[in-house]
Amino acid sequence: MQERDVTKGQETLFDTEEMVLNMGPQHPSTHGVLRVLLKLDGETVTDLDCDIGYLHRGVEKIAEHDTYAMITPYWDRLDYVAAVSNDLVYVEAVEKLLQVEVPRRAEYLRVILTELQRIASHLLWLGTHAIDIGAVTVLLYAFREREEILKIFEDFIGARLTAHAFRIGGLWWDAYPEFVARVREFLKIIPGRIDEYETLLNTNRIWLSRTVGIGVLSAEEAINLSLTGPALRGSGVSYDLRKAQPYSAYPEFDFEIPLGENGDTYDRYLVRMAEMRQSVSIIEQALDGLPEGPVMAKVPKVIKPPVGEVYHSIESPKGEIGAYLVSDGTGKPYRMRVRPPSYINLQSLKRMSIGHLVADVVAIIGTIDIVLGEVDR
Amino acid sequence: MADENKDTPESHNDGQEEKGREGDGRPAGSPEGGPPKGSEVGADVPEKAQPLPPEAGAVDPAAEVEEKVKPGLTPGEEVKTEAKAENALPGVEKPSKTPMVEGASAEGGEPPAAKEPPPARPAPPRAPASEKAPPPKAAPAAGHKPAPPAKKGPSITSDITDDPLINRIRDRFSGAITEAVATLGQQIIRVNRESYLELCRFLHDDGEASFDMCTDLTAIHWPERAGEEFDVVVLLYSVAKNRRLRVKTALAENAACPSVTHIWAGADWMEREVYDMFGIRFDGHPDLRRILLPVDWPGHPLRKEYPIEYRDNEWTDRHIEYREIDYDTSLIDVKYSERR
Repeated sequence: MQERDVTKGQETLFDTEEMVLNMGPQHPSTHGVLRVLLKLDGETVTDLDCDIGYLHRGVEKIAEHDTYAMITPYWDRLDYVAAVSNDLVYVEAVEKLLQVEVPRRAEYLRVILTELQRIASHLLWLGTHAIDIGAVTVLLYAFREREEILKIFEDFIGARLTAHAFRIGGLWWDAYPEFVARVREFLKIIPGRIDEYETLLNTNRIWLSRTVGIGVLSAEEAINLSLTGPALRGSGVSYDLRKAQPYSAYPEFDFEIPLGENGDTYDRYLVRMAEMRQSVSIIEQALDGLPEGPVMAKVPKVIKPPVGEVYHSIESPKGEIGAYLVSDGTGKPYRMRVRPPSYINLQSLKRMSIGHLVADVVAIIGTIDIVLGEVDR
Repeated sequence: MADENKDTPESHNDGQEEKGREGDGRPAGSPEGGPPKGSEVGADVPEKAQPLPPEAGAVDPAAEVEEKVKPGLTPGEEVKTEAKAENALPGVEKPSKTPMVEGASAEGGEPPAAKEPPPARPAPPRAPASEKAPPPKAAPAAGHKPAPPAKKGPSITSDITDDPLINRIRDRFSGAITEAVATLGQQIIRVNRESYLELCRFLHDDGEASFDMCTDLTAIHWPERAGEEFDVVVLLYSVAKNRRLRVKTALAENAACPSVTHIWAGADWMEREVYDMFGIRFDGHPDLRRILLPVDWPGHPLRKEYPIEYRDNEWTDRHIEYREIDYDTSLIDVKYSERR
């Protein structure tokens, strides 16, 4: 029998080497096909790199070969859990370029639909974020309410997920007869349900220990990283395009911009929860004031904007989504650029994760709220 | 629709918008980029002043369409006029009278309409562009910025003249700012590449500007603009002042652009994407790699010469491993030919 040097054995067994861990692209908590490479010291993240592009379809290239009207459906498929919001930014950008005035009824219906979409998107975020962290119940509840919104969409638009709601100049259809009643019914139940989720999470000890102080970003850092949306507002920066640079019918509604204080995962959670309540209030106001009239402006059959360019952006559930269109006077855009909030927000993952544990990376990916269809385009 | 900037396009007059367009390198007839903007503003003017009427008489229907558009007054008007002109062309149905019906069928009706008019919209951008290319070269001698001709269609672009911040920037970077225009109320300044980085730093640090967020950074390819094939476009936003500004700089085919990542950390992935899609290198970028496409992808897709179809076949062939599989054919008792 050979004598073994026990101390040496321990050294090799409990070595403190740095290690690279591959997470994704099939990992369920990466919300799609995001691959993250983590450099670890023990369980602490020391460096991080994102590998994206698995879903790249070349939307911007395709757009140069399609007419303005043909491009709209591609926008549904960018952020596919907030298709209506994506549509809105594109059609408004083209309308701006054409200088078309959209009828007020159409503007109101657009606001109602996009705010419903915001609630649906936040519900999906809430469910998946919670299940990533370990609270499975919330997902089941959140999807129950989201289903109601999707049903309303299905009856209005004809699709649940890639809802192609808007046209350049207005809407495809006017609201169906029971639309207002159904939305009101939904608005009656949803505030109580949001309370329910908050009872499950707000003071839940596990939830708190997994989110408070995780992924902290100061306001300056967040701005410097071009962060937008609830992720930025969680750091206390009051930047919401609905207020800052109002579009559609938003100036006519009264609502607040919820802000966080500490810029951590918990604050971003609170911001999104409060945003859902604000959305409910906006939809109520829009339903009360819903004007009668046409839903489609007079738009030329062949859309040929004048030579020039426009950048238009709106507040999507994920952040600032923008459309930058360069027109050369022909029926197809010379260049179309999508300003993708998920893609740009995802950059901050590195800054937020370094120094935290591997398990926290999952929470931070959740709190940024990305959709890979839009990250990769 | 509410506009973000204080400057409204109302203030434009024909003279100013003329300059704006040319600065963009896109004179009316040649939206693709046409004559170089290096040879500058004065270049285009004579060509627009004199040759346009004869040209319009001589050339194709598209020129006619454009001609018809010219006299329009407001930008909104332009769109309508243009649409009418198009409808009046042979092969296209006359416009329907009832607004709602027309509206409702507009998009549905488009594909056929798009098929018919090819004669009606024959490459106005390309052919005239090549015709027009020579004059600018000869013209620079004609001095700079003479009063532009009044005969000019409505434009959505106008010069910025009275904005305090833009004036400040102009004073400080006098020669470097080659253009400052407002399109639909959105302010755009164009700077030469040498001063680009300095300007960006100024815009970030200066208390009055304080553009603390880089909303977006992208590029546009103008292959016909010799020596200035690319525009790098930076969209800036100031959270404190709630104001936007677009900075453009032109680059030659193989020139590198200074990176602004150390000013705005958010520009990191945006510059990587521009590198990936256009092949523009950014000097000083900490980690310039492809981001959306595989590392060994051939070419840069958003360049205009890059075709759109079958681009992945070659790459896929290189990376996919084909294997012969031996099927036990005896197990298949029904022949394909016998199946219905």
